[in-house]
Amino acid sequence: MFNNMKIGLRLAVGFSVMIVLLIVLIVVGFISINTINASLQQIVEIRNAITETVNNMLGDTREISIQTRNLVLEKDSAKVKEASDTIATLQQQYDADSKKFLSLTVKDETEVLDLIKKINAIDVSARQSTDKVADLVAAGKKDEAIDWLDTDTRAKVREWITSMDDLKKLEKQYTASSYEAAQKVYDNNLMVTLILGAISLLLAVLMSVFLARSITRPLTVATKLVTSRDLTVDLSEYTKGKNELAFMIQSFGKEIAAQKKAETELTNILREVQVTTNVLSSSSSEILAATTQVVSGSTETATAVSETTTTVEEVKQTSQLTSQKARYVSDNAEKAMQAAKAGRKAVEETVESVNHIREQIESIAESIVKLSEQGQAVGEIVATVTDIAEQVNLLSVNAAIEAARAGEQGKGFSVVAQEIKSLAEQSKQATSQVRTILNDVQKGISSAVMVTEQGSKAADAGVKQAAEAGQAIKVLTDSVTESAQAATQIAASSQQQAVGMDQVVAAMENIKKASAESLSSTKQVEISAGDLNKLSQKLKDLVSKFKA
Amino acid sequence: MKDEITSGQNKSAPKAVDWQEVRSRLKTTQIALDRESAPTAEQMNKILKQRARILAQEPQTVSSAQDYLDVVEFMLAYERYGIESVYVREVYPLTELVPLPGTPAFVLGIVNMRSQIVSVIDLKKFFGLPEKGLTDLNKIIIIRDEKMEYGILANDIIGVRKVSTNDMQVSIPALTGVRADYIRGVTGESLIILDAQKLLADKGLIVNKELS
Repeated sequence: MFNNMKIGLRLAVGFSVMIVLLIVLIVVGFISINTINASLQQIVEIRNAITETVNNMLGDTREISIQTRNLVLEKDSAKVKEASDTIATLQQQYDADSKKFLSLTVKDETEVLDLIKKINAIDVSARQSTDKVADLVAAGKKDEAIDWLDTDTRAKVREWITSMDDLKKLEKQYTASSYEAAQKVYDNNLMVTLILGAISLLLAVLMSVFLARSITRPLTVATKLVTSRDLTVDLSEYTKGKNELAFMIQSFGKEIAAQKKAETELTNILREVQVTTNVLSSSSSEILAATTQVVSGSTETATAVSETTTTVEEVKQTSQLTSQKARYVSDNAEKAMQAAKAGRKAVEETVESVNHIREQIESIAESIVKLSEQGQAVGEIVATVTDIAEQVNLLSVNAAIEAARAGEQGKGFSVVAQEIKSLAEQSKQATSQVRTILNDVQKGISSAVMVTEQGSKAADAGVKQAAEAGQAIKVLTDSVTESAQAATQIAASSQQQAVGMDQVVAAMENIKKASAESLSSTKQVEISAGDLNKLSQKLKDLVSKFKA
Repeated sequence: MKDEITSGQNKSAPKAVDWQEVRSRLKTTQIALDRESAPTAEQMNKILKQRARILAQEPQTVSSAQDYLDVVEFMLAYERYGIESVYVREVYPLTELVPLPGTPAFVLGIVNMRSQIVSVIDLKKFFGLPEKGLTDLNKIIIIRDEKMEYGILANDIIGVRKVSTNDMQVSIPALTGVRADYIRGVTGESLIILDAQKLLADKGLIVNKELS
């Protein structure tokens, strides 16, 4: 039943109980306070007033006494008058106070009344005394006044004061007893209030505890459920009932179940996210690395481009130079061709002359051969002569022998023989000389023939060389022609090359621009990749915080 | 002339050929030849006079004939020999030598000398001298006496001269062997005089053999 009460109702019930108790308490309190208040009022209004009045009266009395003294003591008549007026005022005041006192006094305070009567009596007499003094003074009997004052007035006043004091004491007593009564009332009321208060407190505590427990227990359970997320715990005692807490727990349970499911899904997703984050992180770092590479590559490209531009300029220069040179070569080739033609003609002439020379040589050779033959003939003759000389020599010897054999008659003959011998000798010498000369001639002829042969060969060689020269010149001419053509082509292509180089330079400029742009955009990409990397790192950290 | 031809043929001759000089030289030679081949009367006179002058000179040989010996001087294997001209019939060139088989080595063969058969002895082989070969128009010296006649092979006939017997030494130690027997003497000019008599009389030269 209690379980089916909604929390609001429970709270309402509880609070209403407590309110009731509170009301009771308030009422009781109110009553007691009122009582106390009445007492206090009595005290304040009456007792205090009384006391005050009494004090005033006492004061007045004292003041009257003083003024009476002044009245006596003062020499100045104005001041005396003033004092007498003051006394009159005071007496009026005292009368007023006395009346007030009487009005205030409670009728059943007989002691007080008695005392008041006494005081009044005294007062009267005192006044009388005072009046007398005044009269005395007025009459100018100051010394008498002083004496009266010292004796009568003072005694009466003293009595007055003593009675006032007694009144005061009495009033004090009454006040004290009023206080006591008030105190007692207060105590009683306090007790009642306390008891009631305790009871209500206890009830309130119990109520509140019970209420609190009825709320907090399910809440605690709910909280535990929420924090522990343990759906295996038996919450049947909490879930039955039709109160909000039960509903809450139920819904928490459902919620938790759903959350758990969601969590599992989330965990899966997170895992996937983690994986993805890892991939992202690595990819972003790869991107970063790649972009850094691209940046460096772009820088290199820029450097390469500028180098290329420089090189292209150089090439252009070179191609211009080449073109110039090609033209020069072409011109030279023309000259060379002319020279080649002249050369060929010269070669032909040379061949002709060499052939002519060869013919001459051949005719010389013929003459020499004839000479040789003649020499040979001479040789034969010389041989014959030598033979003859030999024979003559022998003959001379024979003649000498015969002459010797003949003896005296042979003397003349021996001379003849001697002569013959000497002649033979001479002839021999001559022939030997001739032979020597003939040998020399023969040697000369053979060497001449050899030289002629050599000459002929040289002529042949010369012809061949001329032919070769002619061939070489022809080849030279051809190659010169080719080179002239090539030179023309080179000149043309150099022109084209120069044009092409210009285009290349322009293209290089474009490349440079493009690479600069690419570099700047890549730098931006780099920054973005860096940010991405950082973000992915953050994500990674965030994801790692989520425990499955 | 040789030089001119050489320089004429050599196309790359360092010095050019002075054809003028060549022609003048040729001309001079021609003149000389003409002059020599057909000398003028004046030239002939000049030559004859020169010869007469030479001939008019006193001969070197002097008196005292009895101490002299007429020898035919000849060369044989680089050595000069002489043989008494008394025993020399004549000197004849060596032609158409017909070698005879079955004869000793020193017998070269036979030769036909004006329809007369004469045997030829090679003294080189006889004396044991080194061969020189049949060169230098070898000649035969035909020596004879009453009984014997044959030809001695000689390399060269120097001539007939008179040799003083006073100059002759009988023998010198250099000559050894077979030769020593046949040497009459040696002159101061290293001319070895052979003893013809001994040569002719030698029995060893007679070949009397029959081929079986």
